[in-house]
Amino acid sequence: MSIPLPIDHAFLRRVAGASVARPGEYADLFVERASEALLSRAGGSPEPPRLGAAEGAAARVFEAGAVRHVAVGGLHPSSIESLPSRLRGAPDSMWRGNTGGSGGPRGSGDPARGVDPVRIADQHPMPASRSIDAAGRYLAAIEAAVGARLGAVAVRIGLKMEIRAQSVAVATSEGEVRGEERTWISFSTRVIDEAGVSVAAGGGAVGLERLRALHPPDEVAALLEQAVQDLKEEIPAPSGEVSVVLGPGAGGILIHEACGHALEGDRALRGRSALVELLGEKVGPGDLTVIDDPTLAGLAGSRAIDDEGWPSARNVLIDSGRLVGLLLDRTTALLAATTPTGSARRESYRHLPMPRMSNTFVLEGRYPPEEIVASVPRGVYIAELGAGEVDTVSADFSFQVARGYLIASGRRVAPLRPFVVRGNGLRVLRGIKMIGRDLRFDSGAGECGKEGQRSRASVGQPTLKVAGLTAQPVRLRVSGS
Amino acid sequence: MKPEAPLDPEAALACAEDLVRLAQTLGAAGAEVFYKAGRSRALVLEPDLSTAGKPRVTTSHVVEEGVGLRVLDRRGRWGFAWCSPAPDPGNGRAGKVVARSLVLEGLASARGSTDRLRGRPGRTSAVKPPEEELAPPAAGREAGIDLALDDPGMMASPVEDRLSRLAEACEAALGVTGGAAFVDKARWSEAKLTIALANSRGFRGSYRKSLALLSISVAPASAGARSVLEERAACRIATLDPRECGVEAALRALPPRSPLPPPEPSLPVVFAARATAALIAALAPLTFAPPEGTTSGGEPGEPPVDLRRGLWVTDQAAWPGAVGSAPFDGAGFETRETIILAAGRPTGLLLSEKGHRIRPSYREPPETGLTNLRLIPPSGAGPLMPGGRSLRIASARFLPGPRWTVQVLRGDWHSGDEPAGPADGLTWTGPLEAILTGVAAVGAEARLFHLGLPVGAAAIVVEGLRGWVIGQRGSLAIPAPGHPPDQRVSGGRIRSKIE
Repeated sequence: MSIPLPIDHAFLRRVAGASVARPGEYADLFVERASEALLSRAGGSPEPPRLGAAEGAAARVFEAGAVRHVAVGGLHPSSIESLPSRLRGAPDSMWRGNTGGSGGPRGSGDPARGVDPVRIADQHPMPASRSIDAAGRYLAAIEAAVGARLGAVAVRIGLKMEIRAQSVAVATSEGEVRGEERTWISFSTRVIDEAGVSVAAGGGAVGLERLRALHPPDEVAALLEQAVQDLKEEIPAPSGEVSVVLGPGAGGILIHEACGHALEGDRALRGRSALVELLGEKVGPGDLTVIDDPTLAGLAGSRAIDDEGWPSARNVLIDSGRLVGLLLDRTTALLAATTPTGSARRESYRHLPMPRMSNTFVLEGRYPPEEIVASVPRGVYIAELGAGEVDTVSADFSFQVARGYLIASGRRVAPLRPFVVRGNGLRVLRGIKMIGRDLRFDSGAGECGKEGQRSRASVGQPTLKVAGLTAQPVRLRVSGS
Repeated sequence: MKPEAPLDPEAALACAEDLVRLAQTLGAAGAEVFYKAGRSRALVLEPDLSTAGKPRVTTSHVVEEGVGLRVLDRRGRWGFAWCSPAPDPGNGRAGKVVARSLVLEGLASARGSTDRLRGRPGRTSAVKPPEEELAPPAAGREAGIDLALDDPGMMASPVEDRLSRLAEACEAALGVTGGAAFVDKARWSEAKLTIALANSRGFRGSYRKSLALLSISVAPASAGARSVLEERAACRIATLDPRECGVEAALRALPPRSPLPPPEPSLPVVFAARATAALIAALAPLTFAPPEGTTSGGEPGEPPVDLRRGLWVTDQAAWPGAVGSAPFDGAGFETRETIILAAGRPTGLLLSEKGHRIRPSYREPPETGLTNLRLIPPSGAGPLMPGGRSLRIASARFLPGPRWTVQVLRGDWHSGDEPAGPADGLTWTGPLEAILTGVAAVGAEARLFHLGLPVGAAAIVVEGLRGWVIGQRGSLAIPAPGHPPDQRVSGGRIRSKIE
């Protein structure tokens, strides 16, 4: 679902340059076209797909102590060219750009300057429908596979899929212009049994073929079947401080939430982070390295440039146990008097960028995962975490465990009833006792929410043995797989 | 058109009608176009982050429009497509290309509702006949009813005026927190919207609406203090009280005081309006539950329900000045007030009543949802403040489950009107019905809060809640249930990915 941006760089460079009013200011221009298709199935039938497309542009200028941002829908050249005057608060600018068609003032027939609006319209991001047939067949195949395995116990099987494509270009007042096309497709499936308990599974990839290869329908169904089987064998979860083994992959959400958010520049540099005061200090064992890397291919948070046009880079956050890095966008890099780390993300042209994680993971250690489990006389093995709460100021967190098992005498023995793990991000880092050599990333269905903006992100982690977590059984049944 | 005026609703309607006609020309048996345009500005004040002695200010202005198109194809299948900005078929070739593309996408969506893998023809679960989905030509809302949705002052005042309101909220918050917590961010957003809807049955309607949102984010600066976000939203600026919002945020952020144990096993519990709002917001998912028995009798053999007690909540889609209000709903049906909890029991009426189809944006087709939740007093409600001992709760969190938990964030034991010691951190666990049917009195005036959706709440007195215990101090709550594993949480707020 490629959606090229037919706007030449010279035009964008000129508008970005015009956004600066005084020497020493910095401005940038963000141009976006996006399309999405949302598919779903329920009760054995497909729902009508929701197909959509949006495009728009935004300019931003940094002044002393302030940031100004203006955004307009549409890519009509006259709309884009109006952004510098809108930034300066021209009195007639904030409404008249209601954009019509593919950009221009409604019914105005403005002559195109720099770019041909008809050419833009001809390459409009519609149709998003291009890929829905094959995607619908894949969803139906998953549903059929799940039905074959779980038809006897499933009261309801629901499936959803999102196909998103986005083209962006960023021009800066320093004369740089960079662009990128991004696509991602993800799905989730949920089975609800007679008792109202649900289990879920999902995944994501850069394209449908890859998604199908990573998540064959029968494997998805088998995963759900195992989850349903676990429900029948559950025993009560322990209570109090326990030894925890975090399984590879999805357990990485703990590092993302309890540690990663605290290292995002906007929180860290404003004293909203429990970790930032420890920059340069030892916060974990010598074999602990945590990295945020959008340059890894094929993951949910992968991209070549960030949403300020800065080239993506591998950022080491914790190096051999020492806290060494923050994630910075341009705003926070200015505060820190350094360069950005390529970590700026924005949901769309309508939103302001902010520093975010991309693909955050713990580097592999040296222990075979079996050895880690065998080292725990009694504890819990967490295969998947669910919803939770994190306070980045104190680094305290609590998470529901979507899938957990009791470890007894060094063996995983039985699935556990619902429980919550509580802890503190800093204590968790210090409490890491063993790091496995089985790094795995999550399934790719995840997103991160921050201040109302969604952003795709991936987490990865080898098996970890952690001390300092508290388990608390709960009566609440949560979904999980 | 005046440069500073919002888009003329008639022009918006013309755009919608053009698209309806185009859809019919291109083969649709029925069509509906929802048009929404808006200009908005947001100001973020970060008092703690200053340059040259001035707090950091971020301003953002956005101009946006879009349309959502529902089409019924000739095989009786519905499809949906959206586009931003709205295509303008009258704006040369470029406009025509996009308009045509949108309609073809809608028709492609309708085809996509057929299960081609199984070769299943035509109808799907989503198919409803046009007369159920499309509103008839508007009869018009009764003359004289002013929903007060459009404030001429919105987007009209200088930025400095809004910044001074934010500064007022920050000052009020800091006056309460002392050094225990600080204001992380104060945000003011406002918008002017034009909404239009037209369909092939002949409905045409449009209206203007203004919105303002005030939000205060407080972060802890001492042990035990909490991060909180407090928000207020309204269609009219005068309704928003920055000081009240700041004080409420601060009260919720303060570290808990050491609680005294319950003096008696069962005392009347007075939930302040803010705490009641939290309860009503937590009940929102239940409002879609089918009714259990009838409100007057329940199951055979059960005692009759006392209609003079219990929690009564309506979904009031035509509440003047509330942000969820509109003259017609997302499908064109006249908005109304519907009782969703009667004497503490879900009525299930919301699902069957037209006039409650919500449309958060042009990107979504209309679906039955909550607009403004409003507490209403039962007819036999008693005096609000009990004379003897009571537990008065200023703020609380409600944790759903098979048995619900109420956590007191800020509360006091009272003897008459005199405070008799703190009750912070107390928890109660028990059946939800005990709360919902135990409401014995309701305050006279409902205040409007914003807890993800507008909630109008007053203080309530609940009787019969036994078994309050001192909970774990300073601990984080058990996360809310029912969220899929593909969610992330951030900053203490749970975000849902899909559902």
